[in-house]
Amino acid sequence: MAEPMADQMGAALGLIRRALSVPLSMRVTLAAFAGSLVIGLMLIGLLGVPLGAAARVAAAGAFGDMRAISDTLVFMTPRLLVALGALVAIRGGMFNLGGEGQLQMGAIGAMLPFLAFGDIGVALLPLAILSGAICGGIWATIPALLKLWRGADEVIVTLLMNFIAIFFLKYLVQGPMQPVGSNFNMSAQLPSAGTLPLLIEGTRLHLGVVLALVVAFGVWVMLQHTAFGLALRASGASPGFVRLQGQSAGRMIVSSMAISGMIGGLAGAFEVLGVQYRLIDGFSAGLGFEGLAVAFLAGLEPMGAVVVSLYFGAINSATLSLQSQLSIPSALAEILSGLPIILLAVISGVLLAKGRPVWTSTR
Amino acid sequence: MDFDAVTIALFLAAGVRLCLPVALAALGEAVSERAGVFTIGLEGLMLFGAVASAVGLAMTGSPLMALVIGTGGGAAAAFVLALGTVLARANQIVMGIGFNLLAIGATSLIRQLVLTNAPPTGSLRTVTMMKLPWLADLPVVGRAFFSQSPVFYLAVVIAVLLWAMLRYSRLGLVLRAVGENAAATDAAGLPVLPIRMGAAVFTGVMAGLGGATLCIVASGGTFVDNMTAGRGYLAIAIAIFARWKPVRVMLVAFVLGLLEALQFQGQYLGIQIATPLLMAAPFVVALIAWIAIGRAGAAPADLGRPFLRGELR
Amino acid sequence: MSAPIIKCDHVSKRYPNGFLALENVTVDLYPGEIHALLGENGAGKSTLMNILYGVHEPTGGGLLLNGREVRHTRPGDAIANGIGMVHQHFKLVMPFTVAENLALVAKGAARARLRRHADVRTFMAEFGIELDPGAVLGDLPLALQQRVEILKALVNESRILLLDEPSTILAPSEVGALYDTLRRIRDRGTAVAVVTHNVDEVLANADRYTVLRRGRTVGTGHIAGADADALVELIVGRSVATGSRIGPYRTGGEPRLVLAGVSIRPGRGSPGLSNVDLELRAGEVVGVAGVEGNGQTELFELLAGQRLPDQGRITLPKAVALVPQDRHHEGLSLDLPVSQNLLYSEIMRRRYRRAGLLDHAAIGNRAEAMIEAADIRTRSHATPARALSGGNQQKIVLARAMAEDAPVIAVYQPTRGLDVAAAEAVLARLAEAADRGTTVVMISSNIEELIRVSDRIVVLNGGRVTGEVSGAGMVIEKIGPLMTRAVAPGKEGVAHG
Repeated sequence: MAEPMADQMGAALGLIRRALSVPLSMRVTLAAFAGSLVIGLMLIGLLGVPLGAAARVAAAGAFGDMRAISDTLVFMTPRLLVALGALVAIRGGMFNLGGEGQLQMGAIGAMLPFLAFGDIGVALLPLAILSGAICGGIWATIPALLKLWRGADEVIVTLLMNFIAIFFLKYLVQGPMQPVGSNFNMSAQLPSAGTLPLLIEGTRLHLGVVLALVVAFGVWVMLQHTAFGLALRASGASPGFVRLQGQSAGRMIVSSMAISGMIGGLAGAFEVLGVQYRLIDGFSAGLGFEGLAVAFLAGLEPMGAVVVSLYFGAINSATLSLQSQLSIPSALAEILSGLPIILLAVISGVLLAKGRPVWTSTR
Repeated sequence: MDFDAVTIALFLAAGVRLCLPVALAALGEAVSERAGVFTIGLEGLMLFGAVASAVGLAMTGSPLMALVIGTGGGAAAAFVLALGTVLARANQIVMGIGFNLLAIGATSLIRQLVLTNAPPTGSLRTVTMMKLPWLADLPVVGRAFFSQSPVFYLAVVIAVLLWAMLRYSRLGLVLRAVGENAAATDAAGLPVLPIRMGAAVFTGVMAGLGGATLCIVASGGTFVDNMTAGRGYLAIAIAIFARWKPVRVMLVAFVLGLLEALQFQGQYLGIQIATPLLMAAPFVVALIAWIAIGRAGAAPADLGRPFLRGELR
Repeated sequence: MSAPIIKCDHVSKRYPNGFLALENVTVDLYPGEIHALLGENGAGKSTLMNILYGVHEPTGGGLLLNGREVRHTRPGDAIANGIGMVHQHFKLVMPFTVAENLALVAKGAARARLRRHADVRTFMAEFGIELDPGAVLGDLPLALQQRVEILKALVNESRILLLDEPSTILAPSEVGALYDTLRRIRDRGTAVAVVTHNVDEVLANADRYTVLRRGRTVGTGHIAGADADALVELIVGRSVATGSRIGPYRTGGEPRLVLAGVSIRPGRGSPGLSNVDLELRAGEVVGVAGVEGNGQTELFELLAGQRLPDQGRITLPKAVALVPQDRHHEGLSLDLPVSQNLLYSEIMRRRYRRAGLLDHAAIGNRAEAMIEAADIRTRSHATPARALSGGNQQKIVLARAMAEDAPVIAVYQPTRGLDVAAAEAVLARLAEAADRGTTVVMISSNIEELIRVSDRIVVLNGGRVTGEVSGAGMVIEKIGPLMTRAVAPGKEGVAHG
């Protein structure tokens, strides 16, 4: 009597387990998102807004029409790029908290060709993109070199360098880059040849969005389909293994940081070239840290980063609609951005303590 | 270039005023880092302290109570944060970044729901200015250091007490041991996790007071969204630059405050450096100092490492 | 000697994985004695220490403190019952001063007693130790750090002091001073238990001994009247019954790897190497025997090209294939699939690429063939290495090393943690490699398998080569003493059979 019961129970459990046989990291991430959405809904409910109406407005705001979709994608782009940069570094074993600074330097770099050569036509845009990437890359290589040369912990170095970059940009737009006679903290406007073209008239959708997706694909190819990517992942996850294979961990650190910074630099460059059309003080407002959160929520996978940053973009454009139509404070966006990463970190910590690591700082 | 005593005194006084919120938070960060907990969420803790103080001011009308409530808000937020970083062993950096994002949104929401836009009525003078008898009448230093917010005197006292605690007391010894070698401290039969929880909550007390000071003392009692604007990260840098020594934290913060004051009073002093470069200078100096220290095991060895008995490999 | 202060009474310990580490072990510790716990690796010495100190709980039997049954479920219980422990890897706060480290562990009355530096000096003087209480631990040499670790164990008036392999990290000249200190502690009525594998050290310094072998007590008695040869035999056992010789004895060809007068400074928990001469020839298996922590790690790192000797010369061939001791951190990248673990070195040598990208199909095919040949049990070549059993993981490491076709292959504890069948397979692969002309260096603490597969065996003890045996001369009766007797510089025994 008892045994068939137990058998059936066992079979049922087995079925459930197979149905849930998505990787642990995926389940944890889904749980984190589900948990934060529930909390978000509870907040909206507490504000006395009918949930149905809120959901409709939010969906329309994020994906309702071409404009909404393009807003979502434009919000997505810098977060995706910073996340891609962060995950390349972290998978290579460097805890790069410098996304914010690399983004600032990328933005500055994007202005340099125009300031140096003036309006030189079609060559200006590719030069600007390249220059942004290079500036971000150089900025990110510094902490890697300092780590090798002096053993300086990259977490603190990148954190400090964020502020140096922010103030440097502020200095530029208040001084050398400020047009004569202007009192605003911004540079002169780029000529239209030097900006990322809009893809659909009447929206903000610019070419940078597509380029960011291309970069995501490129990072995936690099990590999964090249020997360099294999070495990068191996050296971040198992430095001892790589050392025994006679490879230099130092070279991997430098090259992963350089690539990371170039991608982070693109994030800033695209904001300047596709959204602002000039260098403006304070244009980023914490994008660097949001990108880092995206990277971790994506399980440090480039394709996952596309999905997660799309969520972040949608949250941002949805809350704009919620605010204008239902007077729900747009602060909801930050809450819904912060919550999943907190939940993810806590769940992972508890699992780690139980001996089942979901991810580690370097994997 | 001629400047009189009054200009100098005002300049020094401005430095003190500007550095105060950051200095308080940095004192807190120094303590939690000494115990091995890297509180990246300091920025968020300051925000919670600031909004709690604004709510407190609106409710009680007393600036003093507002500071107390702000401090409590920071402590409560830090307790929640530490549940994640200390007890649940969440990655301290990832957790802190998420916490800061959340804090920006949550405090803004609280402002919109609880606070009205009307500026606070009533005088804040009890917390903004307290002339110390006799000392305040001294030339230059009287106006610079002894005609300040009582919170400043409190901060100096706390810094000295922390210094003595870390250097001379058993609590300080245990706190440092937890940060340097949690496993050895555990082997000595001392409770690692409760000590870290305590240190983390103390950080919240200081960050909360810092945020409250920013809101009540420095900004006339009005909470503005994201009003800390990176001061939490700055405080972390100060704590590290000051090598986690409380008195040095105060001095570094003060120098930083002076650099900030230059942008307002530089012209009177005849100094012509662009303000943003002045603002960046402390970070550059901190970076150079950090590099100069190198790999000499400068930071507490177990900083940022969650503690687990039996150590996972 | 009246009654034992603590008695391990018929203690057994079976670990959750089923391994029986201790079986019915009884050891008495008396006040005022130095009691040596002797045994090879895996004999159960450390498990016994950990049971006394409350790190592990016994699964059978118990502890009697002054005749009364006690349970130690955590170190705090043991400390409260007057037990102090000196760990092989010190539990010290390196940036703290001597005085601060002592103050950290001091409880109640002891804390008051150590308030000032002068008090600390007095306390240390009781044990004949002179140290600056204000000295920072990290600045002290290892031997002095060990003194502080000992003092730390004594701060709370311990009546029982446990030391785990205290002499391995010390130079031979420092061992005497260690025992001077231990004797002073003993003379105060403390029971001192020392884990070691060194017979001469025990004969010179201990009062009584207990020998453990494979989790059982095989002998106990007073040192007075004990005989070195008899002790060695107790430790390593007499004849080797298990397993027969794998293949014939080979004679090496031309020299491929030469160490000449190589020395490496002592480091944490290790004596380093001193003045090691070694010549490895083509087509032979050279076993390196020794109790763990006697310089093996340094030797492997030298062979791996990961460090250079502090003194002397090493001539390496252009490639050395490696099978490291730590499978999980050095042998494999656990999250990579089996295929990429197998072919990692080849991929890095610009093979398996197509249009600059990895040719996953070719990698998969080649990996399948290797999996087949090496009999690796895995669901597919795309499974992460983490998911495989220890034996199959080791087969991956070995298969990769073999595929490199390097003139020399260095393996370090290649069968540790493997079941019998997997271990046999590993040994057979190594013998085949030597038959093909490869030079095989096998560092292991398992003497039996060394004898079965090696053509000659050199013994490392205290960072020195204490002797070499070859051919039919490779018997445990000759190797045992080389591993467990004191190192006499310049008087290295060489036995040939």
